[in-house]
Amino acid sequence: MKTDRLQAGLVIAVCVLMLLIPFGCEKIEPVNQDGNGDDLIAYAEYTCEGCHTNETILQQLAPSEGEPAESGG
Amino acid sequence: MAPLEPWEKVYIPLGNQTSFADIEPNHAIGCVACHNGSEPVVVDSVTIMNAEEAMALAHEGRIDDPSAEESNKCSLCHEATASSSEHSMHTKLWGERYKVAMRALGVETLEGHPAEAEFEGECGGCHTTCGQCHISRPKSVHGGFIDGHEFKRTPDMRNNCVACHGSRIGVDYYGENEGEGLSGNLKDIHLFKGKKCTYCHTSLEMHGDGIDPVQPPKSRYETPHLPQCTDCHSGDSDANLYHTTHWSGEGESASVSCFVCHSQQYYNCNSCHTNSEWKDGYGPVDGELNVNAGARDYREYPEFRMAVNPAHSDPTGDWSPALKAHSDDKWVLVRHVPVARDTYDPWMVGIDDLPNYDELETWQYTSPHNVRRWTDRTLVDGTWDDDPDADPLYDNASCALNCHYHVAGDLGNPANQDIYLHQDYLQDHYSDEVTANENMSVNFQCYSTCHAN
Repeated sequence: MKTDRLQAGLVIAVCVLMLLIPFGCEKIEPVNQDGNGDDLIAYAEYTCEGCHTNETILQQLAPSEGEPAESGG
Repeated sequence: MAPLEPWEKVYIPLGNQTSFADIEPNHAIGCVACHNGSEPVVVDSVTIMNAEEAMALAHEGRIDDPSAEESNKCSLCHEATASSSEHSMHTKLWGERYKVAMRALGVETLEGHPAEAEFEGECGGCHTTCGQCHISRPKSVHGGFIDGHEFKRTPDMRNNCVACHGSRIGVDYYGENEGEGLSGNLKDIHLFKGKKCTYCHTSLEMHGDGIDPVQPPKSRYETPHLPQCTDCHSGDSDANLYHTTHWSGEGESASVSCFVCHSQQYYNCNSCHTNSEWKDGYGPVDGELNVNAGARDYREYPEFRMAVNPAHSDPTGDWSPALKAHSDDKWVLVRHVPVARDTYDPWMVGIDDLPNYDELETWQYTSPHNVRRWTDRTLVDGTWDDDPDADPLYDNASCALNCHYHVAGDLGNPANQDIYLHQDYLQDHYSDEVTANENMSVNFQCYSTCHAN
């Protein structure tokens, strides 16, 4: 009887954790290539600082390209 | 210097702070106050659908470098500094401006001539601004924050100063020449002692303090607050036999520029670079060492040449401003600069062939940033003579082997002709520049070159 209760409690605890973990983590969705904005609701309000302090957003929005890093003078 | 990815250039890491205002409380006036644009932008899935659209709207009308604008935003708080900086050497390139005008037009200014716009557009690409020294890397290396948009009171030597002044001054100062033609060069002694650029080049000099825009400097050596060796070393004029002879001494043996003895070999430039074009006679030559195949086919090669400064014997003569600024020195170091008669042809503003090309030397006074106490000139070990009692470092005669030129005898070494701007050398390698440099090249006619009274 005691073992059954422990098992039931354990199952409930695992279920609760599985529900809570996704909501507890900050999730940054990638920007779709086609520009569909459904996954941007979490960032609905854009500020300069909000984007420029967010490495992930900047990496997604700023295209990567090779550039020289030293001038000749 | 490692290249930055585009996102890195505009990234502001907050670290343990919660906002930019925590990092920069003195500049917490809001991004749009300086950069324009707009915020916040709301993605409502109707008028603005996605991040790209939001970014485009937020960036509409933005100013990347507010200090590059005519209404320099920095002047709102730093009025005096911003005002003097408008006329600084960094902003105006006064010396180069003068030389282009003099060679092209025979006058001291480009004002009113179509060449001025070309000068601003091309040469002016190396202009700097407040932000390019105190916030980000310079535009010439495509920008990028130095430290997350922190305002740096003192520019960063690597990311700011050397980012532009890299291929000559930077590699010299850091001694980063191994395998690039100056193998064996050591870092400048001042860096070895921990001195950064700003130790000598103060904010007064950098910000153009004292420059009169109506009568601006004609050479960077006329810049107010320019550092002098004697600012720190004035007490060394009689420190040893060589100083008492060549610095504080009398007659022809005195008046040798500090750089002649205390510079290591340095880079010279041959590529003439308006519109990235090579100029006739300056293309790569088989066997010639080209140490820099970097931006715009810029070409450099190691060299060391000393020349006679005609302004020493005639300080009021019609010499270049750089030479007149050093009229105290008879013997100076010179560097070949990348200008040919057709350098500015691509501008197509009627200054083809530079009518006054011969009026300014193409081997110009130089002050290399690779100073050492012991160089190929000063390191004399005395082993050449038979005197067992000779001081190994201060042997009076042995310096002649390192610098002096004599065809025979113990008073000089014929091989030393290679460290002078000799007329034969010009004729052989720069035949079109003999006239431009005739006043400072040497021919070793004893009494006209070294031993004149």
